[in-house]
Amino acid sequence: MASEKKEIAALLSKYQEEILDAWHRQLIVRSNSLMEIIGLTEAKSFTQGILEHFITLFPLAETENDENKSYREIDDLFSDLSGKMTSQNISPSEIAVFIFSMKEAVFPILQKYIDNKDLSGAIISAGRLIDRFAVNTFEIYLNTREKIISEQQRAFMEISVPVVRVWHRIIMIPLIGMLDSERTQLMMEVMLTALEDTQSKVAILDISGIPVVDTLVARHLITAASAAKLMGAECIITGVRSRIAQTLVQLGVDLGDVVTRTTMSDGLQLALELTGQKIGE
Amino acid sequence: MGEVTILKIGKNLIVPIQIELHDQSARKLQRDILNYIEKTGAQGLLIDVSAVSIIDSFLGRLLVETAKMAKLMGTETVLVGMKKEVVLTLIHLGLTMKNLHTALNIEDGLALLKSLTGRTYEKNRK
Repeated sequence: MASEKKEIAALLSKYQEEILDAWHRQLIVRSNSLMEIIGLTEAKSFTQGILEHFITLFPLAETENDENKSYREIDDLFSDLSGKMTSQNISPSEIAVFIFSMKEAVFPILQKYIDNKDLSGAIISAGRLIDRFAVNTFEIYLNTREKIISEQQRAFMEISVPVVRVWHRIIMIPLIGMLDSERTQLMMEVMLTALEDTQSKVAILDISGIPVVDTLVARHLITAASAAKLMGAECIITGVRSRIAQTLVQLGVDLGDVVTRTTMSDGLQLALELTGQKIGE
Repeated sequence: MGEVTILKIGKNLIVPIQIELHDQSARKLQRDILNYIEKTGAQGLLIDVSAVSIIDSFLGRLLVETAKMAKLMGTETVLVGMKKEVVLTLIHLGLTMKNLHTALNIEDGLALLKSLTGRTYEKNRK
């Protein structure tokens, strides 16, 4: 079997030009829009690279997988291809078509030069390798996406907890969006750091920007408040709208001795009282 | 092993903990503080933990207990200067120390003690 595969590989490398021509013709017919975007020269460099790898990988046994150097090389090639196409808004199915159209270029060559007896075996193994290529590109596409998402998430986390020094020894933290445990952790760290640095006596947590306050969010808020308390600071929660007050009571959430107010200005007033300060008349 | 000094200023005791406390030394500190309160009849106790970087559940509980014991002897306790790492650890351990007075620094702590002891005095007079 291995020697047969080698023969087929030799055959493919011999008729490389023919295969590439057929592939390009296929591409122009089947994915015209893609060709318009990336251009024929670019596509040619990819097809050539893929075919060369195909020929080196074809004789290898299927059990030899990812540790092989050639596989790693083709992964690099695919990530280049995938990256370029993704950045140009080409959908993954179009990339898959790009790879699959290779079949229609390779199979006729096999058909032409291999006699009937060995043909089906050759086509099956060639098909398998091409399928694998397509799966690889898809995986790489997904990984690229995943990376973008996690980067955005990190960027979002970084900007998600601003600390405002509203007055002497009073800090304010406006909370916006969903308050999950990860963000609560971050918010607590940021708040405690600010309290330590500024030696502030009062921290105002403004929840006007949190759309839904359920038991979980309430628990997170209580945790943050008790952390501030441990530091020796007071925690005031402002922005408790009527809807939130209703849900909290209906859910049976006990906020304990955390002080709450409806508006920021009420909270600030209370904070000023707590720190023994006054805004001039 | 270092000792923790207990200072008396006016009617208050100030305990600045400058060493990392182990279980044994923490117990000894608790005994020392309570003996000192008995001897001096102090009204306020201020424990400064700003130099302590590790407070585990044992030490946390011990501090709360010390405050309760002091309270039984008529002394108010304020814990000051907890580091943020310590706070986060305690929150993780679920130790919120609800019935313990805390303050950011010694200055605030003394002001709080003044109001606390003043209040009890007022109450007693009524």
